[in-house]
Amino acid sequence: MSETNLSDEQLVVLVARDESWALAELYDRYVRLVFSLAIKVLNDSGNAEEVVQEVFTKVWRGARAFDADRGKFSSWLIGITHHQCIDELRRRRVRPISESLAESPQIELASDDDPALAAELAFERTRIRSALERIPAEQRQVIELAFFEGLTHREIADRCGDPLGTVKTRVRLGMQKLRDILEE
Amino acid sequence: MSIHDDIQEIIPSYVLGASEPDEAARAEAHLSTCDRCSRVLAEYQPIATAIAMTVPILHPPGDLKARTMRRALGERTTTNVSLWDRIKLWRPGTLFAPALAGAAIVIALFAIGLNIWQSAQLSRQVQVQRDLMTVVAYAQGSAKIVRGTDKAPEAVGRLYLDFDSSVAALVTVNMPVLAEERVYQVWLTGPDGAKTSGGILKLDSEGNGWMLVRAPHRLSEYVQVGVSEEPAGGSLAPTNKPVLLASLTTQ
Repeated sequence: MSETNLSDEQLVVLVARDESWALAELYDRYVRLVFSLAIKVLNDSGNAEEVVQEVFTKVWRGARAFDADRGKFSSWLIGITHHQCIDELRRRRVRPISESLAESPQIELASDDDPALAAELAFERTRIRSALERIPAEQRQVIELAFFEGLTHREIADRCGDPLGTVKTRVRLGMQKLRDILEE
Repeated sequence: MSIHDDIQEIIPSYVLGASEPDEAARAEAHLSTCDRCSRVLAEYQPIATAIAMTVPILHPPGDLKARTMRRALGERTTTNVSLWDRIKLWRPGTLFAPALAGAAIVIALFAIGLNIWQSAQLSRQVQVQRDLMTVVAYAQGSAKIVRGTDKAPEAVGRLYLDFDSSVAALVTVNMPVLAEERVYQVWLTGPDGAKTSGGILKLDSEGNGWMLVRAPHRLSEYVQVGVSEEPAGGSLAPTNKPVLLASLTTQ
């Protein structure tokens, strides 16, 4: 459980100054999300553990390049995690079983383990689920295929039997709508 | 359509990882230099974060933190990472006695014939020694004998390593002393035969040396370690046969 009042962005500055305890603090805050995302995409705990190690190694190595003016640390971290997972997925050509975001199981984190994290996750979960329900089903589908299965436009088009241009348009419009909804 | 319009059309797919490789490369190259498009990227990144937060949250294994910190800290030896921080990250059950014996050898070699440095150099050297002992301790008793070849039959070394790390500690004795314009360089050989420099080995006046060998990848990805004589400043590839050699594939 975190005892520091420093923000994520303040901790990254300290990581860039070689303060290893700051990296450990960021690890404690985000390892469950990083690990769980890796499990979801890769469907393999061994590979997920490897992703966790690579992600935080990249945070340690790349902290000096992080620019808080360009976005939040959590977005940067999730971006690194997702790219790492997709690279691993494409390298090993493993395809997990896809599952609609709207049907994903309940959070498995015990409520007395980290109530603050559980509350934040529950809030975000509700928010994104609500946003997804407001975009057309075909746009939601391509977004899920891209994010959780690492499929490119071309691969989605082949999987769904749709023209490439249609898939690209659905991804772009779906993401634009989600951006607008989440900014409301 | 301007380059900015082109990139901003790609950004939503890029955030999801759905872009084709050439599009992703084009976006990355442009985003690294364009504040305007980077601001658009910042509008879409929270969507990926929000989607990520919908996954079921699971507990990682208890020892994953130690493994992660060990790998990350091995990427960059720092001036502010204390030995105590690293000791706290040791896994229980680490083989301590062989590591202590190795550390004692390192300390003894330091005591035999090391030059006296200026105070700033001494401070730096203390830090490196501390890091060296940390790597020795992390080696969990795993040490490779690095034997002299016919170019230096009396030379011998010991490589302390953790195959999950990219850093190892090398200690050598009885190395032929070189002329001023020559150095010893460490090479790590991959399974394809490609050789990567692991750094320059410095000797004292009696031919004893020690260093932290740094690899771009985990040591488990290399099959051999060698040391060769090279021009001052090092070489891009070995120019001489090795004076020390060891296989990394036998446990």
